[in-house]
Amino acid sequence: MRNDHFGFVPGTLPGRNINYLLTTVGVDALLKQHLDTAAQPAAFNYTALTANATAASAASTTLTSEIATASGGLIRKQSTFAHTNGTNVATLTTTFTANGNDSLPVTIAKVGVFNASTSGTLGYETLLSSTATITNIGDALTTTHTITRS
Amino acid sequence: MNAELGNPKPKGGSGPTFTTFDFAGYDGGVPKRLQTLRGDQDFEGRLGWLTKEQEPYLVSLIEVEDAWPVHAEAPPSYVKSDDPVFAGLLSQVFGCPVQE
Repeated sequence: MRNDHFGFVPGTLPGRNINYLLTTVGVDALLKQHLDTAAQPAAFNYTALTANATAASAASTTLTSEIATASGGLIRKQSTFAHTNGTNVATLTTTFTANGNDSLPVTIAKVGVFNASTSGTLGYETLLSSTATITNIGDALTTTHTITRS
Repeated sequence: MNAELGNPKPKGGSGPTFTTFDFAGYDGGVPKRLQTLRGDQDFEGRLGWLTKEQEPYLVSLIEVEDAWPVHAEAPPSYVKSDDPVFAGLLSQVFGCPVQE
């Protein structure tokens, strides 16, 4: 997620430190996407939420207690991908809007990035440095996940 | 829907370039209240000028605003999009011209 970014857009606030973690199964999939001549894994373009606040782990293969309420607005969702040519940074930005099917209030503590709308491979797991609470129907949360190649 | 923004001062880059956005999850939904992980919640104040017809673009505008500081250290130099309405709104939000 965002790291030490200071928005110049009027009305925005300084960023919060959020450490993302590339999982072991995510590394496997990334290498296959890049180098394998066999059928390649799908893109990691789906973001999921959970209230679970345990530390992110490279060994994770699922997002513990992922919000998966049928027809809910906080379930896994395809993200907006952005990349700046000539740099090693990309972002996945996703907006979740709670609806009448969601169990509210809920405090979001961790985010996962998958390569499918259901099931799939967990590529990244991120524990938020500060949580975000969604209280009412119609409340929305935008998350921006920053991926930096190092 | 997609967009390209001229990036005159990229983070981690050496010179002017451009940033592309692919809004694969765009659904035109209009939330009642919206917050980002940066604590930004004043969209009504900043984007209250959107008309009813333009409101379906609200979330996409916020997503660009939220991601832009990750990619750049200066405002965009131009915008373009396969959706001309969205291009016009980005132009107003960032104060830069639409490039055809």
